Amino acid sequence: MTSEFLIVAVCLILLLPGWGILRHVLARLVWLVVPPFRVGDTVSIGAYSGNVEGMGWQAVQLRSSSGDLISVPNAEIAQQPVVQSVAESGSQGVELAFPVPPAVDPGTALRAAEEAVSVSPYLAIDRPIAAALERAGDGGISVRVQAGVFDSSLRNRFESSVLEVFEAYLQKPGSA
Amino acid sequence: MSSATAPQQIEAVLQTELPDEELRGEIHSLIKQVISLQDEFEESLLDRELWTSVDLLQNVGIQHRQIFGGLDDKVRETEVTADELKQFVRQGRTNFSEWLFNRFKTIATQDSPTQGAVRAFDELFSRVDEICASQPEERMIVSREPGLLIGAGDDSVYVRTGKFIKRLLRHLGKRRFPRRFSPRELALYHLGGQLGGRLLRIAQMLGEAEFFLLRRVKGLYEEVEQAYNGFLDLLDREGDQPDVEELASRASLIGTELAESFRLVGAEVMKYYDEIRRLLESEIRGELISLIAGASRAGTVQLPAARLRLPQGEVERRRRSVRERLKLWGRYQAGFIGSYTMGLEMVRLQNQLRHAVDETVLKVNSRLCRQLEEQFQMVREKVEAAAGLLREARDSDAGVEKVRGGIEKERTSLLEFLTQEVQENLRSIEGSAEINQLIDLLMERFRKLADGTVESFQIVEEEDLPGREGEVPEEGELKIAPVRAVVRTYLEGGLTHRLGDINGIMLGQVRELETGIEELLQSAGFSLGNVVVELREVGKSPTDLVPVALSRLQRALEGFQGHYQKVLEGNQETEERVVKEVADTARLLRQLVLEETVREMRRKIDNRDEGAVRRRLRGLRQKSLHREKGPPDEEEKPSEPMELIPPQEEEVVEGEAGRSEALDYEGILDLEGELSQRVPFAYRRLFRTTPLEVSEFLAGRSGALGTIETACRRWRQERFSSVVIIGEQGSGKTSLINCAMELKLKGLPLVRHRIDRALLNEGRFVQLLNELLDMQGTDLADLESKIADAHEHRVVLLEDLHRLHLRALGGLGLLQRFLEFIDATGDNILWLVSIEQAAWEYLDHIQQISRHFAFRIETGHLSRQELEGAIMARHRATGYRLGFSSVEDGGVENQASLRRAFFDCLNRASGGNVFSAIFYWLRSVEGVEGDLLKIKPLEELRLGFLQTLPLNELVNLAMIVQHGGLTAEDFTAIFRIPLGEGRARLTHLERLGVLKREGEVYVINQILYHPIVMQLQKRNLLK
Repeated sequence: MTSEFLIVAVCLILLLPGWGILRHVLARLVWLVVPPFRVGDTVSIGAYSGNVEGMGWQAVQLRSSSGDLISVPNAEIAQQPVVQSVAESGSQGVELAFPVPPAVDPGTALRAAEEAVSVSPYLAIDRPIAAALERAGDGGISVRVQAGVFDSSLRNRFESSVLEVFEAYLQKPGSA
Repeated sequence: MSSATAPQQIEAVLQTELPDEELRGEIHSLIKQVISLQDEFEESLLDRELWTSVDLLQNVGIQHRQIFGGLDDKVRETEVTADELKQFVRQGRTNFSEWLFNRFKTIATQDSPTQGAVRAFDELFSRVDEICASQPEERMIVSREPGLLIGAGDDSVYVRTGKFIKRLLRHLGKRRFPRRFSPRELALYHLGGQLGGRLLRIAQMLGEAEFFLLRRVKGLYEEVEQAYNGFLDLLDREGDQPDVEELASRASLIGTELAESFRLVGAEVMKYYDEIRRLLESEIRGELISLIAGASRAGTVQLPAARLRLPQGEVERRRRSVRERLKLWGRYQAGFIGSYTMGLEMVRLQNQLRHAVDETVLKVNSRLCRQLEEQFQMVREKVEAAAGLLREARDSDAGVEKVRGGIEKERTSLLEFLTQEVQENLRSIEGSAEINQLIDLLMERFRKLADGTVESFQIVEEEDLPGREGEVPEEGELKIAPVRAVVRTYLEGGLTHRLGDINGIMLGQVRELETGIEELLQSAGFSLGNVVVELREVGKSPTDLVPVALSRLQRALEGFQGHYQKVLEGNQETEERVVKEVADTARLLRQLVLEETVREMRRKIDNRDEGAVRRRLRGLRQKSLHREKGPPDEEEKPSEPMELIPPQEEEVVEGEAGRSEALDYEGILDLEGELSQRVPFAYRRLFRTTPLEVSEFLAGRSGALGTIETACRRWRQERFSSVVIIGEQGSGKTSLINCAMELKLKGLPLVRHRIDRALLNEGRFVQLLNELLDMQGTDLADLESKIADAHEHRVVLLEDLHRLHLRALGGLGLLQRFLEFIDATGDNILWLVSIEQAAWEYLDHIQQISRHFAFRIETGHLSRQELEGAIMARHRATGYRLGFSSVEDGGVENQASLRRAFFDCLNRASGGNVFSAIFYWLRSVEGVEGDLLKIKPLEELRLGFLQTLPLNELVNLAMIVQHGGLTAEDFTAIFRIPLGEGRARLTHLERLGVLKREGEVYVINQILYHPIVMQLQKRNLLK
């Protein structure tokens, strides 16, 4: 009885932390048959984006636009949508949502978003621009814009430039 | 000189160290020869070497006295005016700086200013060798020197034991042992070898003294300049009636202060003299004492002894060090003076440039102004006379017929005067050689100026110079500043390019007045003619009609005056622009030369590295051959194993061997400069890369011209027919418009305007349209309704539409409104606009700009045949025969196949861009033999550096391409960054040679335009 109890205890001790490791390995095994991306692809996984530098048994290495090497655990990738740049040109689709401040006319916010995207120096001109108003989760209104950045490594800059112009537009006298 | 002091000490040492009289006598004789040699050396060294600086210093003093010595007396002269004094000082400064400049130039262009010292040292070494050689090979004396039997550190155990035994025997039995030694070896050891090491210190001190004295010369010159600048300032402050006493006291003070400076420098010279002499004496004395000590111990007492002789290689090494040290200091001298003289050369060049420009552009401009003023005055007088007649008619009681006759006569006379006299005069001014050939004249002057500059200076930058005494100079090569090449490329390239449209502006002044005359003709003709007709046919009263005509005539005159005002402004602008361009030339050129120098150094280093790799590869190749043939000789054995470098690497290295052509701006200007030497000027003129004015050389545009013709036809049928011409910079948009005007739009009411700078303000744009359309709209909507009401049909050519937008917040509105305006006015106006390709792609993506045009013409790329046609049409007009040369010497290929191959290559290299093709064509001109123009095989530019540009910089370039050029302010608005950051980014790209600055606007370097666009397209920044 004591020995059986001991075996179960040892198994539990090995399996519980080992399960975490096993999940990454299993995910990688699946990718051997159906890879979600390949080394060299540019992808966005959750909050991270970059160029795939390596696919290991535990994690995938992404090189971000700022040069950082990010290791994203395989199991995490298996549970999240992976956005991969599909354009041959290297451009990447970007979707942004801006909450419309209550004092601002939604139509103005829509125009602000369109102009902000249009004038960004990082805008990809091989992807369409679309902007629309939508009801946000908190009951307010937000503007959702879809456009592309010409090179996925500059995605952050693109988003930042759009946000900056959007805010500046709304702060212009008479824009509210 | 020194023989009076050193020998006493040496004598004392001789007495104590060498009790043997015979030996002492011999060594004494040797020492006497050396001391005599020391005196000669000292004299020749100080005279030959240090004298360069001393002589220069003394002459600076003499020149200063000669030039400015009479200033005190001049000030006190009763008749002298402030202007004369200024002239005296200015002339003096010029003479002084010219004299010093020539002296500096002589030093700066020497290989090494310390050659004199090197020769003096070489003479010393050779005399020392002679003295040593004159010493006997071997001497044997019965020595009493006990020192010989004392064991020395390098004695072997055997010798030590022998010495001990002999010492014992000598002590016990008073036995003496014969001593054998070689005085020649002794002398060679001390004087040939050891002295070399000591002389290194002398060389160091000498070089240092020379260098720091040269610095003092420069300091003195600056002091002189400063002193007399201060004097000139005082003269300026004093005005026309200066206080003589104050001026005299100031002049005297300057004289005293400078004399004191000269005295101090003189004292410094003496200090250096004394120190060098003292050091030389002490070093030689030290070595002679060491020689005496050596003589007391040298030789054997029938025992083997350590030989004194230094290896010959070591003696040579020490002597070489002395020479090298002197040369290194000489290098500093030449480099230091070279840097300074280069600056003076640039200032001199700027003055000459100013003079050249005064003599050419400004003189012609001012003459033009006078001529136009003359015409203006004549016209004004004539119109005022006509107005006077109208006034008389208004106030007189004469009959209608008489009034009508008088007015008609005056009208005819005025119109005849304007058309036959004034317009003729203006046409003659417009066609005058001095305006049309101005740029040729200017280029000729520039070429002479460039030829007059020093070809190159050896320079060392201030931070690389030793700042204090005691520093050992660093080894390395001097930088060579290619002054003449940079000056030539700048003058014939950059400056000429920037001044290039000066005669255009001048002709613009004439045309402005012509336009004024045209308008005056119409208004005056209409107002006077109207009175005549109405008096004759309608039967109205002169009292009703004449005041109206008078006021119209007055308004016409005012309009004409407005045009004249613009002429004056244009004239003023020309003058200001020219003066501004020349103003900062010295600083700019110095910067360009330094940048080119650094680049040249890098190229040398790269080539050296490549040379090393190539040598290594050559070694490997040999090893490879040997492997095939058998084992290599020991000497030829390469240092690296072959496996380390794969064979294809050689191709990479060979491919990179031309990296000196990795182009940047100056590099490109160099190429342009080279062209001027190879390609006749008349030939280059035909191949100017400015837009074509006539259709003669237009090639491959028949389709585009057909489209314009169709658009005209449709527009006459009152159908919307606006045309947009899209193309890269240099693709021939303006040429196409010029030729369309000549061939397809002739006779149509047409206005044309090129938007030459960013225009984002609606008010200003409306004003521009008002001027073009001769309307008075308050805004675009108002103008729209006015155009609709006028029912007037006309063609409007608007170039560079992209300048109506800025890719920044609020920068797209005006263009959008204008596009709507085009839609609204298309029935009355045939809009023909041109736009940059990149801007079109962008604007079409975000604003669907193409919806606003009925016809689209792309001037993209010419086909191979069209390109050949365009080049050959120009070439045929030059009258030269053409000869293509083969890649390999003595090739037997026929001209037709060579030509085909050349144009295939040209098409590939230029990508069908006309500008690029013309550039490559001119670059391939090998030279001219009689009337045969030889074309060598085309070499493509290596623009690998464009591919390594970081993405961020490519984004910056993409924005500049899209806008056709940006000011720093607009650039910062796009990226929403601080102005300083924006300027830094643009300046960096300018330094890379990718951008050029035209006034405030940064534009893409036109030669690189097409490759840059290709790279931007490749990186997905442009479509």
